[in-house]
Amino acid sequence: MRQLPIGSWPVWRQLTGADRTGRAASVKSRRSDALSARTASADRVVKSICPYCAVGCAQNVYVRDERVVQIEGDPDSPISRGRLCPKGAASLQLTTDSGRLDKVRYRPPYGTQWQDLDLATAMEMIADRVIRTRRETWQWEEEDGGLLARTMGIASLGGATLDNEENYLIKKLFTALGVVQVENQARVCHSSTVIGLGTSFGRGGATTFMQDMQHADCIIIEGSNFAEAHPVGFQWVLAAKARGATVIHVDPRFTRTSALADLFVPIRAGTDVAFLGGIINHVLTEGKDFREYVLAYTNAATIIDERFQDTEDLDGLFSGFDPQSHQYAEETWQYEGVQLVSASGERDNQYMARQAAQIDRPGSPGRDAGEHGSGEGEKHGSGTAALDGQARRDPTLQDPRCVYQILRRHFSRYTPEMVERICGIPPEVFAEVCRHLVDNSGPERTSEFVYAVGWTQHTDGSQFIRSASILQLLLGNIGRPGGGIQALRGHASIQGSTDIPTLFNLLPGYIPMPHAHKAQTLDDFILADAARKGFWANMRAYLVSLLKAWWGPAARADNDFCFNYLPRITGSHSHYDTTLEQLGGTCKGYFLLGQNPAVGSANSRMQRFGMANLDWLVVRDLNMIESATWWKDGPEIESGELVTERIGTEVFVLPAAAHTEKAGSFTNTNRLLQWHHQAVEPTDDRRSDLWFMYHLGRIIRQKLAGSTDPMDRPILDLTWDYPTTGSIAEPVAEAVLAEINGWNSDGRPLSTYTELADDGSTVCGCWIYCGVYSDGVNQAARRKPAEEQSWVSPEWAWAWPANRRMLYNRASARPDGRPWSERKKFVWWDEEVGRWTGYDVPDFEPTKRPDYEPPDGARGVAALRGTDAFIMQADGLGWLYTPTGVADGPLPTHYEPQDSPMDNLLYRQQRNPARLLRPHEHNRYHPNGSQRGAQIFPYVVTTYRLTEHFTAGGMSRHTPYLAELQPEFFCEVSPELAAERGLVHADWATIVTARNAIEARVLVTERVAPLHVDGRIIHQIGLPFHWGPNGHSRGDAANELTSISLDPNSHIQESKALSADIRPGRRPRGPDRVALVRDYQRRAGITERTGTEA
Amino acid sequence: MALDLREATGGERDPATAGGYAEPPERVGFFTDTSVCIGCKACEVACKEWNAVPEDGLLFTGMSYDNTGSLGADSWRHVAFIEQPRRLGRQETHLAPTELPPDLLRSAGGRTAVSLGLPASAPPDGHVAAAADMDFRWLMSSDVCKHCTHAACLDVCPTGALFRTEFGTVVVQEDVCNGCGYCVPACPYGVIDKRPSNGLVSKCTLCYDRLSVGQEPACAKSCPTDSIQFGELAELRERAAGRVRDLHDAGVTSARLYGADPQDGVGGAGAFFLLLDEPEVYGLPPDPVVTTRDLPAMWRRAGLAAVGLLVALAAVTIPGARR
Amino acid sequence: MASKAAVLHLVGLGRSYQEIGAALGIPPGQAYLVGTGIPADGGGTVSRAQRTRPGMLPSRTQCLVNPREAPPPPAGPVHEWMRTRARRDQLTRPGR
Repeated sequence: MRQLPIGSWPVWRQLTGADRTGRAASVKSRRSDALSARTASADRVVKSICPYCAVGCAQNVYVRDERVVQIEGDPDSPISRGRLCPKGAASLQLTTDSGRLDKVRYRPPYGTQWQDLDLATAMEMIADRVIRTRRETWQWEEEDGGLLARTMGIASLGGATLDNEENYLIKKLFTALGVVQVENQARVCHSSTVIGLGTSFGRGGATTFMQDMQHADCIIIEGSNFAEAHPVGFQWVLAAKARGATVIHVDPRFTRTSALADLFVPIRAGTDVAFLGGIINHVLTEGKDFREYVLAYTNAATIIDERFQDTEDLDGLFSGFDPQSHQYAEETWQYEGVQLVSASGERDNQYMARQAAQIDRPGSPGRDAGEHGSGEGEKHGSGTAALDGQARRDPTLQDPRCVYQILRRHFSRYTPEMVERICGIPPEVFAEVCRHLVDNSGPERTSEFVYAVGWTQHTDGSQFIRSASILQLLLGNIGRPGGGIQALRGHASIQGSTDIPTLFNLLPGYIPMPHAHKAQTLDDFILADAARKGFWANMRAYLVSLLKAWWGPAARADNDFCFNYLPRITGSHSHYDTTLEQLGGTCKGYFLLGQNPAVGSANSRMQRFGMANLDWLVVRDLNMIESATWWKDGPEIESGELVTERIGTEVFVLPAAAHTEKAGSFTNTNRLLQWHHQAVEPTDDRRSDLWFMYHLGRIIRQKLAGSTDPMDRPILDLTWDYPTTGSIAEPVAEAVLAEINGWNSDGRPLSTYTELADDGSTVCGCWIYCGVYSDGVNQAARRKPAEEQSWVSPEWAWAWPANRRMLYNRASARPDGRPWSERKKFVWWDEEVGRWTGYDVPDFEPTKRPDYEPPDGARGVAALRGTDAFIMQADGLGWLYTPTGVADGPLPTHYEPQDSPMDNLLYRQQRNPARLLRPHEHNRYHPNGSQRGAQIFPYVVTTYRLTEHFTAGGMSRHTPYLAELQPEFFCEVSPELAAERGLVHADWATIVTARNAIEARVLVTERVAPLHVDGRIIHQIGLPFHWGPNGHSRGDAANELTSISLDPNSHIQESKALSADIRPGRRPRGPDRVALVRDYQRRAGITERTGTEA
Repeated sequence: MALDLREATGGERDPATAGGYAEPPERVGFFTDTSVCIGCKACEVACKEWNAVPEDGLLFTGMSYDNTGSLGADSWRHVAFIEQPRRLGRQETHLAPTELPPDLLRSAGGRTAVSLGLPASAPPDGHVAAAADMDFRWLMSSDVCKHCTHAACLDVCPTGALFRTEFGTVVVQEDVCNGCGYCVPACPYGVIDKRPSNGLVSKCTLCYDRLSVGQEPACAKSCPTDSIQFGELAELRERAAGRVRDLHDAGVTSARLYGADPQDGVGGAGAFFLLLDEPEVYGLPPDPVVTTRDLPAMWRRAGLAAVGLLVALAAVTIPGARR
Repeated sequence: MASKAAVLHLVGLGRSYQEIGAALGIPPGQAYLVGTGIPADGGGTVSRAQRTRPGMLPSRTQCLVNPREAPPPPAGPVHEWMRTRARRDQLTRPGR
């Protein structure tokens, strides 16, 4: 009967079939019968990587009829195991939503509306402007003849959301054009990590990998909101917890991370150095350090120069401070008897002195423009400075000038009582943290620290990280399973944009950008920096291979391989300095490549004023971000401070391709390079940044062809001939990867950086990435499932260096090569075969015996002993005390934030004496502590992230599925603060600093607790920083409130701790808003000098 | 019109077999372990992405981090956030400093420091204080359609739009639904609702289309901490019981299962939960009963009453029946 | 539609999931889910105890669901380009 129509009727089936109640089989419709999933019925599945945070979750992209129809997790990934957080899960909408930019938008100077412009014309116009501005602002030499060969007229910002290959072309092209102001999100996010971890251990990145966290016995999450900012990575914390680990969260607010922790410790924002210093003091006082590890693997026994004076001697200063330049000279910090080849070389010392003397010259960007402002410490991203000579050591650790004793003395006043007075943490809670940490360290147990921008974004951010590094070295946790320091970076490829990098002061692989000199040869430059010991001794090979990659046949031995084609830096040209250059009229052209400074950078107002002074601005993004529209309807238009018709900035908005529309590699927070394949071609005017940079370069070279001007030689001689494919002539990303990897004279890809030569016979775009294309196979594209390999998963993608997943893993074995314990074995010496073996690639020469002692006069790698676990360090040791490389001191010291309602209880020196300030009418600072007027801004503000949004909002506020989860900007306040200030839950509040005033919805919650700090009650206010006036979800930007005050090593802003006032109600509109801020400035007695003293 | 439920489901038979499927697969469902939920809402997004459920309102509710509000026609997963003045097992939150001025406490409505009654670890200087803390915890839970064993929505649907699949799940067939809305008040949890855009009802399908090709539901796949677990219901119930035991051993005595008991008012849920407090705290009914449970009895009584009425009528009207 | 017993019976006969699916009239991925109780795209959350079940595959079960994986672009052109570059860049022979 089923053949007749009635046979399919539900009623018939109910009466005649087994489903008498008509609620199941009998009522199933034909459509339901034929249901299939669009994943299964797609044409193909393409392997990709999530474009949001730096966990690097693998994605499957399903394509049907050349459209992406589904994006979900790839279960093969050992890191993510098929999971995606709400942002990753929204990738389909992110990449296919109709709100995405699809056509070029153009705004002529003084224009009031967007206009159409075809892409080819836009490219020509942009190329013309680059050429013109470059010519107008070209600087050949300094006044004294030092080579510059550059332009300060053009700058570029962005790269952390882009592929490594894109970052490579950006850096390559702009450098060849003489543009030195190349920066990206890494500057404002984790630049402190490069110094903090790099100087301590030898490499400036997370020391371990996500899956290893399951082996930790104790995990301390501090300066990070792990579960919210890296949800999929957090599964590994829960894996540890399931095995009995203790999870501790230290944070100003009780967050979604705290909800799953065993112990939550509220802390006053910005006081982590006091807290960690207190733990260090406890460990040293109680003798709880892992003595054998400390003696073998750290510089605890090294004797320091007798001229060294500690903050205990000078009330908060170290020896060598120059109050004029606010900089330290490192001479007195050195190891005794060791001539440290200064980070900048002899000639650079003279240069430094000259610069320091010219600080107050008109037009200079303010104080601290000298060498130490130039981010020298960041080249410690891979290897520290050279040491000439053997340092003296006292293995009994009794000598008062040995590092161990200096450490004890330095932290002696960081007692539990002091921790309570400064941080607001009661002694019994502090004692608990110490107990958990100490009980879970040693041969049988390990503890891990996890941190993010809660530590990096301070005027002494590098020192926050240094504190944890010291602690982990003392407890013997570095290089051991379940130990180490997990630096959680935040963008898909921000590690890559630091490695490659799009940063002003570095060349690929952490080679420093050269400084201006009268006559500096390549050898001079190498001599200044190359170490006598260790792998960094081969710097010449790394640099020559890079120069050959960039200038090919033009780079020869007789012209120093075009070393002088590299533009020179003369100090700090970091992102915030560029903002000042824009305000000052020097910088006229700006590229924004997937970055949104009008929301994401400190002092957003200043960013917009800066852009209003440009001749031209090129914005490339997925959505119409605030940094593209400020001229039309930004806050300064509303206030009348800027008038659209009088803004001369020409604006080009070029739609960007999404990650599904291009191929390339991302480097995640654990140094892992993962390839994402192109799923579909981009449509309309959308193009990848690879396409943009390549064709921009091609068009510029075309226009300059035949030029005889020497300034054009670097760009014309540049190797710029990548193969392209498809109808839009997209460059083949794998070819760029191949150049990054390098090849030999036969054109065969290299396998390891030890193959690099300094005689021009090898090419290599980034020596630390050498090996990613070994054997001509894209190692970053390997996706061997987790089930088919060990838990370390070495055949999933490729990590630098040399595919090691855990750094410094030599330290997981005793000095004699046996594991510290069976439970914590990871890498060990196999005497039978004469090799190091274990679960990971040994971070050590594979056949070097543990008892190897170098002969006298040994150089380079041969000078490393069999126990030198930190092979990138000049002395092979983990540095408890950094004799060089950290601009504001060899040891971390508690200082108050730039804007703080508290005095420094430990020293007369209130704030970081070496911090970088940029006084400006748009960048006023607050009076502090007991200074007059400080009570006008009595509350502590900390900015933070929500799971549902992503950084400056360009990838979340325009995406409806994410926008609806957190639809409005809000502030979190305690009930006590709400009562004190009359704030009403779910109503509005206005938050004010000397920079600006913003409004937010009020969320009253007990998760923010008032702290008892030195007899006072300190209230803290939490502000998520994602909002701006564009998109589905709109609101004020928290960065309106933050100031530009920078860590001297990394030039990172202090956005994690500032002071402010809060009051109920919405903020004033228009000019009244500015008037409110001026009123606050007046009441607080703020002048241009406020906050600029010590 | 429902027949006696107990008859129809045969007591022990799984809903799919009872529904007339010959040799169906094992029943599948969700076990949501809220003790590992981090409130990230990946489930909400993954569900909407897969099922093309539209964004349904940019509304700042002020209810902690919950801006979704409740399950509805356009919210098939809903994460609840509860900030509570209660302790979670041995978790220490230290949100109460040991000394706050009384006037501040009073004006704010009082966060009270609670002595843990234990001596604290002694810091080096020997000063021993009594450890103080505040009772506080932040519960998070992802709610979803329960896919009940006795599903009232299914019982009352007059068109057969709602039906029991071979996997034991309850699904709305949008090609059949006529928008009558009978199911909406029938659900004891308030899950199913009508879409304003087209007048039809919609709710979680346990990703029926994904099951048909062997994929797990989108929310379960996406969940970063595996709070949402998908699998055979029998296995999930066993796993959940073990998890409750483990949590009790770890001092989290408030852990309990919700919807796992086949004897409960809906016959046990296909999507059940591990909660850390009473269901009402999460916005869930404490003792849900399938609203059609009493229907057979009601019809019987109605039938009896009708017969009685007829007899009485006959007695009154038939001549000779009454003197 | 198929029952667990039906699937496992065919697994016991040594059939592949493609064959089982064809025989039972269901997609191979569904056969896997029904036979093992584990979804074909389940990822690393499979416990050790679950791995020993009848019908389990050790890895790559997502292939039972997915369409063909897009092959990566051929590396040949890139290799050729590297060789051309090496010639053009005039890389010297190594000194040794």
